[in-house]
Amino acid sequence: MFFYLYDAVVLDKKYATLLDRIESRVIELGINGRIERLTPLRNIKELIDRGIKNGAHTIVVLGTDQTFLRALQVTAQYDVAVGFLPFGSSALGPLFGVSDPMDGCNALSRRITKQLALGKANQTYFLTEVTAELPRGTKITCDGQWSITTQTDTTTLALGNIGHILGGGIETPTIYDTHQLHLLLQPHSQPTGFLRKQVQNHATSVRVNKVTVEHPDVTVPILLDQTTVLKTPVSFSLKAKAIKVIVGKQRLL
Amino acid sequence: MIYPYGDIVSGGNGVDNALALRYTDTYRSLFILIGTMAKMFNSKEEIVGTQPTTVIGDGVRVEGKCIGTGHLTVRGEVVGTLKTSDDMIIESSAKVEADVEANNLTVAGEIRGNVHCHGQLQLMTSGKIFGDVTTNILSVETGAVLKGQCTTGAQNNEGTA
Repeated sequence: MFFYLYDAVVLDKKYATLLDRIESRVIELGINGRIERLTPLRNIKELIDRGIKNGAHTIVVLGTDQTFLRALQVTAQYDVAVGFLPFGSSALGPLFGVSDPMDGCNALSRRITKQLALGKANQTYFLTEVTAELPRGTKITCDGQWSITTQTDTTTLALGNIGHILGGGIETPTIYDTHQLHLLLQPHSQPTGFLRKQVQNHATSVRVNKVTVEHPDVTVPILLDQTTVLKTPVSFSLKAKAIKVIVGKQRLL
Repeated sequence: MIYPYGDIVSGGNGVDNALALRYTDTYRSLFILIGTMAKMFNSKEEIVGTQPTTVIGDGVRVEGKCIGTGHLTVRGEVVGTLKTSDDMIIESSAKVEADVEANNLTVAGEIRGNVHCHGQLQLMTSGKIFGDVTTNILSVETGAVLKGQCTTGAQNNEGTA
């Protein structure tokens, strides 16, 4: 059974025509199913849990990237396929080859799935990457064998699973398909010498399986998928083949 | 390939044009030669680009057993063990207090520890090694510092300095 989860944004009047077309197309293709609508009073976890208990094998999210990423947190615990029909500007839509929701309906019908790894930060999952601004003295332990300590006032951390997809600013997204976490540390330039000249530091780039980020004195906020914030200490690992995403022909993965 | 002097040919009389054309041909040959040489010198970089590369940048300090499989470039501080089955480059800004093992090793920075190199060890002008060195082939540039026991031709068990 298909389970369609409508984000609140889908119910906006400007999307009424598109939603009608999608619903008609879904019926034509014979992939219609149960529909649930997200509201501020209805919890996404509760809705998906109930849908899967009632026999749903495919969860389709209609809405924004953020809603899809929130849905992944729940579906990662089950053996179900996940589809996405993006509404509004979306970075994940092109990644999965479903930029246009109508193309997404055809992809749902063809049911080509791609198994993806999910990054795990403590007990929370992330799909794309983790970012943080680390202060001096932050310790990053890699694979339990060696550690990196930051030595500049601010260092930007980017820990990628799939890559830099969200957040914009880059026309061509960086996509990793290596089944490892990509750790990138970019120390901010800092003035040195008598003339206070700005010196650009080179980035550190390594591939790891497990990472722990901690600071002995302060709590550092870490942003997952541009949506969820965790506080240090945080342990990161990778869960291989954690989700099955329904993808279109034009997918970038 | 861009020929910046190609515009000289346009305009002027026939004699000037012929002269300019001859100069242009000379410049063209020169640029082709430079281009070929540039490709030769950049060939190593192209090969490096196809391999998974680990970079330890400046502004960080690495402690512990850092063991990898791909190319490794070090620009920061490392304490402990540094090992890769592929090539390693220790840049001039790097300070390594560790035992180092690699296939081919280029040292432009400072290493305090024993070095084991399966292929070629290149010690650049700014390079300093304080420790015992075991390598198959050793190349030392003028001004480099090497303090320790050095064994070359390690695969044949020959040559100790």
